[in-house]
Amino acid sequence: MNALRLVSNTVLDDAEIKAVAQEHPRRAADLVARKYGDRLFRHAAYILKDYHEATDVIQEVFIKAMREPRFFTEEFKMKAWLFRVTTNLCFNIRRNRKRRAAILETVTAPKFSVANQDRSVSESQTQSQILAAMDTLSENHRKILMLRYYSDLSYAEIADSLEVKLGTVMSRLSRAKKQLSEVLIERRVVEA
Amino acid sequence: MSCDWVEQRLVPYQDGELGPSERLIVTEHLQHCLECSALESSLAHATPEPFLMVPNEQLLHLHSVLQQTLDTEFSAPRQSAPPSSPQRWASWLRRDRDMSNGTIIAYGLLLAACISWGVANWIAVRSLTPPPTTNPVALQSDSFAPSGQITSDQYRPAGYELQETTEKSPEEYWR
Repeated sequence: MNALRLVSNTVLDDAEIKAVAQEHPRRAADLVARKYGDRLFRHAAYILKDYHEATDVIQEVFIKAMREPRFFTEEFKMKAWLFRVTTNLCFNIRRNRKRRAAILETVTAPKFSVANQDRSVSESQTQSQILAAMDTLSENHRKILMLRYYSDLSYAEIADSLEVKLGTVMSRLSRAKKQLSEVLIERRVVEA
Repeated sequence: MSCDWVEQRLVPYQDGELGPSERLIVTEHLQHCLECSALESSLAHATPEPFLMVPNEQLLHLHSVLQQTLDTEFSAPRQSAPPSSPQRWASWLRRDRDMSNGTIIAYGLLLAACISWGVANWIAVRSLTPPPTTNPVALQSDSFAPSGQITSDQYRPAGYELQETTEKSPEEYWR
């Protein structure tokens, strides 16, 4: 298979990228960046609410990926690994940011706008309120909601990413969403 | 099916992750259970939706940074990370609990302390010898038998004199 002929405009699946990596690892790395870069960046941006920090995180993720000896091996789950590392780095930054804010007694405002031209103003406001309400949840609940609804991972992919069982994903997601619903009702974002 | 069973499956039901049989059961339950139906509705309203439109210049900047990063990584002598073990140690314990290393070590130390305490107590109980039997009454007088045991003819309250008694027949008693 000459996958190189296909690389110009098509997005290859993970098995094809790994096949390319056997002979052209640099090209395979480009393919991974093209396939997952944007999604990982959005995922990081939702967590950090800062494009510059999100860029730094994705850069670090790809450095780790290229230094991971198993990354292009057959049994390695690239997507789950990339999202796991991205999520963990983002939450580490959030924790450090909170500690710094507590010490310095400053509040860091989000540095991006939630405006979306494809939605009405009220819809955008509701979604930004939902994002703000997610900050009141525990870290585990926030992670799983973001992986499912902002990054559109399937339950199986979330289970791989978080290294838990599928049943755990279902129960944790149910609890997270129920808790989010209660917060939104309390804040009158949605009706009971 | 019980409401608890259905409630646990409402989110996967909304996300399309339930199998066909379970999906049918939940659908039928929601048709006649007002409570579960209301809960399903509130969960649906609480569903986050991707709304972030990242400006194109940010994405272009990201890909430019990634290209430079990959160029640097592949041009420099490859510094592979030490091969990590395929699984973290004690992964069977972490699987559903997300335990950190510190938590596992703390639990291990607590378990070791409990076992040590139990073993120490067991050894202490085994090594106990029964105390010598002593009769507190025997210690009060020298007239008692050397063994310390009180014999019935020695025990006599003050002012009591032993009298010989003979058993009377019923006729003698009632005479």
